[in-house]
Amino acid sequence: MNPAAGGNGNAPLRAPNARMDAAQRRELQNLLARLADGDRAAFPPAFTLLWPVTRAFARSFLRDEAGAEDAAQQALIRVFLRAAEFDAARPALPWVLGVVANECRTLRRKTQRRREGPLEEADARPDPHATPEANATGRDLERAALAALDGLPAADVEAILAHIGAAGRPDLPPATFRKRLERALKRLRRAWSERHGTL
Amino acid sequence: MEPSEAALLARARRAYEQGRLRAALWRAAPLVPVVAWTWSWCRYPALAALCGAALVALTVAFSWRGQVWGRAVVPGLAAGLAPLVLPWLMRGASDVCVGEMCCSLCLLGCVGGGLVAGVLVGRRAASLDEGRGTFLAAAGALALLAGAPACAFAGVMGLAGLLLGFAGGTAPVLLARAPA
Repeated sequence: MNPAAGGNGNAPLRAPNARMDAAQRRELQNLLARLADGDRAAFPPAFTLLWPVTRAFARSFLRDEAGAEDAAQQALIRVFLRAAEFDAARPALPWVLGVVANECRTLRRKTQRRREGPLEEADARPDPHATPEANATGRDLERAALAALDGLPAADVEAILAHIGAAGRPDLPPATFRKRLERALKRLRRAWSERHGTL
Repeated sequence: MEPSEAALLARARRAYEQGRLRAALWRAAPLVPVVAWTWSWCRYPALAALCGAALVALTVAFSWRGQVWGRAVVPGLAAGLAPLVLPWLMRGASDVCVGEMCCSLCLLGCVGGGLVAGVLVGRRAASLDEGRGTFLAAAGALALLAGAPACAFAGVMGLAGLLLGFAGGTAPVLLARAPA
């Protein structure tokens, strides 16, 4: 493995290096052409050559160590899954990086969707070891949340406050309460997005 | 190599084989309607089904295996068109007589189709530096399996004529281009 590309998966984030010199590019071209033809002997050297490049590219693309490691692994699997389709007349490195970039984009979209997911998944408990700056940020966020709540219908505010334990639960059947809470959170998300652009 | 990398290597290898199999299945997919069409008119539907199944299975296997086996698929199938189409076109024709010797035109189509297939496969095999035997075996098997249902119109003689024609077309080309 190329140590310059990052060592093991727990190594700190280093400057990415997805570059290959001309000899390595030629070797990659040759190895992928052989793989496309069905030469299994080309597999181990192709893996050795591709893994550091894939990992370095994913790191530079995502700028997140853990996410980049997952994306690089998925991308490498995808490259080998599609190796039989590789056209030897085309340059290999752009083809590989195209597959990796696509995988990274997919992972980033998934991560963003998760972040925009239900509030139930968020951990709202205060951190006892928080710094004064973090406390100030928390207070700002609280004020912003209250401002967003301010524009919502009373029933929505009641449901959200009951959900976070700041008020008593209204006398409703559980299914009705869940439905009302779901609608309230949806409206809150929309209100927040309108005020601050993102959630 | 670290354990995590060894596991990734194994996963990547499995993905590579899966990808090859998927590509091989796509490559063989257009054969399915051809096999169904052959089965619809073949004199012996069971033979057509058997040959068709073997043709599809070998196409998948050779394409998945790759290298010389994989490179033989397209020439083999292309060569197989001649013994498939010629006897099919001549199946309704009457016998041809030269003097006192009479022969079914369909049988002649089998021999002629086999000959054309043999020349095509033989020429391609002769141009290879290595793996001629493998290429000949793979492409020949596909060409013969493709042509067999049509040659069954002429019965066992038709199948024998196909084999004879193929051998007759292949041998001279290979002998002429064999290295000294």
